[in-house]
Amino acid sequence: MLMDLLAPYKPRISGHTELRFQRNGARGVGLLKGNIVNNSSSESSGLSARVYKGGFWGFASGSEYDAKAVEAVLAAAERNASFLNERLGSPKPPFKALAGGSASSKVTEVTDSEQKVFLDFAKEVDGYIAKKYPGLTSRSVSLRSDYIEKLFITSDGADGYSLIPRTFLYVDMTAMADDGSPIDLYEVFGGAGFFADRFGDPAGLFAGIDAHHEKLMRKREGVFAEAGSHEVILDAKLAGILAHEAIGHTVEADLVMGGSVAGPYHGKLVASEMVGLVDFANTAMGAETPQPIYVDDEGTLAEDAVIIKDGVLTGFMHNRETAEHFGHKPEGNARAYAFSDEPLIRMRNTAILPGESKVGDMIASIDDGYYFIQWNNGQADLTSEFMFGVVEGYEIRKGRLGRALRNTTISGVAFDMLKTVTMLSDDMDWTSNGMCGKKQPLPTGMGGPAVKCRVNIGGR
Amino acid sequence: MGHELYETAEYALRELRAKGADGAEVRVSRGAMDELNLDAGKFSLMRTTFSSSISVRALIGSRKGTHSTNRLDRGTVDAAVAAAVEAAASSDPDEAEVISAGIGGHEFDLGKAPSEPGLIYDRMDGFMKAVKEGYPLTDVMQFIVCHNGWDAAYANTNGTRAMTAASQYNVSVTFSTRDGDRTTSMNGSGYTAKDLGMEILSYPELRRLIAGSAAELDARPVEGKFTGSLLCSPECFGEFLGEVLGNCVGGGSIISGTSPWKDSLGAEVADRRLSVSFDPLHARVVNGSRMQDGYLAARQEIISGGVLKAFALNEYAALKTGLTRASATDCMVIEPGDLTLDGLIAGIDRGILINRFSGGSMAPNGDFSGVAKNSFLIEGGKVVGAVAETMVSGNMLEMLKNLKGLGSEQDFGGGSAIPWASFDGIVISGK
Repeated sequence: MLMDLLAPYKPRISGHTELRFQRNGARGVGLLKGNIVNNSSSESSGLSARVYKGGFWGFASGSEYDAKAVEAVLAAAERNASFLNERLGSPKPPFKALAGGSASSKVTEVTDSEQKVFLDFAKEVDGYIAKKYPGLTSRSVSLRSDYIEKLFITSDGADGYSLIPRTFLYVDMTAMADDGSPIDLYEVFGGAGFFADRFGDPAGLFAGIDAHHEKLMRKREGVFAEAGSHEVILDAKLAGILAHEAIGHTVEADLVMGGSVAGPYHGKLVASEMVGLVDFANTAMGAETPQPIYVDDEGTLAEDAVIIKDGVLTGFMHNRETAEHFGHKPEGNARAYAFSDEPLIRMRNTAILPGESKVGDMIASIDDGYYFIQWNNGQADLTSEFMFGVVEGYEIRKGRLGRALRNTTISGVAFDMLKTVTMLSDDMDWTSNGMCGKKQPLPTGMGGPAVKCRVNIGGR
Repeated sequence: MGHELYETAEYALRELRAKGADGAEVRVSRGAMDELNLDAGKFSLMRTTFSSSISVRALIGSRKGTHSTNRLDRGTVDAAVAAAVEAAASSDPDEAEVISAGIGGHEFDLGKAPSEPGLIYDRMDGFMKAVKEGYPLTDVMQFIVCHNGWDAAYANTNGTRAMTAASQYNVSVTFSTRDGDRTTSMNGSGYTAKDLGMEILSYPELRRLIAGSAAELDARPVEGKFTGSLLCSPECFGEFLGEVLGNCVGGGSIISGTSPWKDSLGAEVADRRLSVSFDPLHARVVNGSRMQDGYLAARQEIISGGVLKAFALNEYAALKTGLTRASATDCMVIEPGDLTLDGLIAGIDRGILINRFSGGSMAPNGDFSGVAKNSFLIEGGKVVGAVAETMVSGNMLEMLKNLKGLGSEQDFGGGSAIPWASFDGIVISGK
C-alpha cells in the first residue's frame, strides 16, 4: 500500500531525488533485582525527501505520509537545496545515473510478539537467576527487540524495500569482592530476527547463564592487568570492535576527506600480510550477516567492500558523492537511522577475516600475556588510535589461561597494531547488539576471529 | 503556545480511563528543526524536520505500561493507548509505581523564536573564515548548527497540566590540525544557546581547543609510567563526575544496592571544596526542564562541602528505597574554586592536562582507565608538550578525595556549569 503511495512519484522526481518512507519499532522489558523497571514499546514513522542540486543537498521530513505530505517534503527539500545554491552557487552536475533496479530484504513481514510474552520470558530468566544465585548483590535482565523498515524510490528509477529486525537479552550480574568492591559482568544473548526467531524456551539459556555466573565468580577473585605493552589475544568480540571502531571509521570516505590517516595509506601495507578486512553487504561465509543490506538508501545495489586484502589497504566505504570524488564504485554504504535522518556513509557488517590457527594453539604460544574477551565500550579517532574498555579477560602464563582480570582498558594505533598480528583463529563470531554513533545511531554488525597481537594496557 | 496539544493529551487520558487505566500520564510535543551541515570544510546539507510525539504511561492498579509514537492523529493515539494498557495488564503490581500528585496548571514560556537560516549560514561562514585566517592548519571536519523550536504538554490523571514553549540553537564542531603527513587526533566542542548573537569562535572552550590544536602535531608518548596529577578540562571533569554520580547516586545503583555511596548520606565523599548540584533553573542553563517527574523542578544539592546530601532519585526510586525524591536530576553545576588555569598548571609538578578522555566506563567500584586525547604533559608547573598513546588510570571515588585544585572559571555549555579541576594520585603510562 505504501509503495502505491510512492510509486506515482517515480516518473515525476528528477535530478537526483530520493523519497523514503521508514518505520522504526521497538519493544522492551527490563527487570532490576526482580523489579519491572521497563515495560514499553515504541514506533516512529514518517516520510523524507532528499534532493541533490548543484553540489548541495536539501533534505526534509515529516511524520505524515499522505499525498499532501509527499508534496510538502519534496518542496521543502528542493527549497533547502536551493538555499545553499543561492549562496554558494558552484554548480556541479548531477550524479552519474545508476541502472534503476529493485531490491528487497529477505525478511518482509513484521512478526511482533505481545508484551506479555516478552515480560514472561524475562521474568522466567530472572527467576532462575534469583533462585539459583541468591548471593548476588544485584542482577538485571533486559529483553529488547527492534526493527527498521524502509521503502524508497529514487529519480534513477530504483526502488527498494528492507526490514531488519534484531532481538537481544542482556544479563548483568553484580557480586561483592572480598575487599567490598562491587564486581559486575554482562552477557548478551540473541541476534538477528524478531523475538520468535531468536528465543523459545527460556530454559535454553540457563546453561549460558550458569557459565556467565562462573565467569563472574572468577572475576570476583580477579587481579589487575599490568599496565604497559603486552602480547595478547583479542577474542572475536574485541576483533569485531577493532574492525569497526579502529579501522572501519577511518576508511569511511567522508572521514577520509575530513583528514583520516587512512587517506595516504591507500594502496599501502597497513597490516600483517595475513590480515584481511571486509565490510560485508549481506552475506558472509555462506550465511546472511546480522545487518543484511541488499540496497542502500541512495538506491545503490549493495556489494561487499574489501578494505584490507593481504595486509594492503585497498578500499574505502562510499556513498555516491564520495565514490565520484575518488573515482571509485559505490558499494551501498549510504544508510539512515530514522525517517528524519539523511543517509550517511555507514558500516554494514565489518569483519576481520578468519585465519588458520586454533585458539588453544594461540594461547599456548604466549608465555606472558593476556586473553581479552568482552568489552563495554570502544572509541577510536581518525589517527586510528583506539581504546576499548575490557570487562572480561584472563592472564596467560606459560601458555595456559590463568587468573581472571578486573576491568581494564586497552589501546593502540590500529594501523601499527595490525602489523603485530601473528596468528588468527580459524573461526569467527558476529555481534550486532549495540549502536554505532556517527551523528545518528545505527545498528551495525561486526565480527572477526581471535587475534594474536600486541596492545597497550592501562592498569595500576 | 501549543495549547492544541492539550486536546490530544486530554483525549488520550480519557481513552486511557475508558480502556481500564486507573492512573495515567501523557506527554505530547510538536516541533521543527532547521539544520545546516558542513562536512570536510564545505557546506553540504540543509535539513528541515517537522516532528511530533506522544508518550503514554498507564497504570492498572500499580501495574505499569508505556508506549510512545510520533503521530498525533486519533487512530495513532488510540493505538498508543491500547499498547500502554496491554503492557500494564501484563505487568506485575509494584506499589512504587504511582502517578505524581496533582500540582495544577503551569505554563513555561522559555522564549520561542523562529528559525533564521540566513543567520545560521552567516555565523557558520564567519566561523570558517575566522578559523582559516587564525588557524590555517586546522581542518573543520564536521560543523553543524541547528535551530530547534517546540511546544510540549504534560497532563496526568491527578490534574497536573504543564505547557512549555522554547527554542534554541545547538552548535557542534569537530576538527583536527594537519601539517603534511602529520595529523592530530580529532577534537571537538559545542554548546547550546538561545540565540546566535555571539560569533561561534567566541565560545571560550572552542576557541581554546582550536588555538591549542597545532601544538598537538608534535604529540609523543610519555616515557614509562609514573604517578602524577591530572588536570581536567571542564568537559573531562563533567564526564568523570557524571560517571560517578550515575554509579553512586542514580536510582538504578541505589535500588540495586551496588552504589559505593549507598550508606554515605551525610558522610564526606569528596574534598570539602567540592559542591555539586543539579540545577535546570540555573541562569546559564538553556531551556532547562521546568518539570521533573511530573513535579516542578528545583535546584537539588547532591554534594555540599564534600558531604553527600542527597541521591538523584525519581519518584519510583524514592518510593522503592524509602528515600527522598530529588527535585532535579540533570544540568550539573559544580561550584568554582579560586585558581586560574595558569595557577592550576603552576601547582602541578608532573602530570597531564587532559582535554578529552577516551576510556572504558567506570567500574562499579570507581576504577577507570583510558587514553588521554588532545592532552598535554605538565612538568615543573609548565605545559611542556602534547602527548600521544598515553593512558591514565585510577579510581574516581578516591580521585574526588584527592582534589588538588579547583578552577575559578566555569564552562557554560548550555546544559551545565563546570570548572577546571586537578587531582593527585593518577597512574600515567606511556611507552
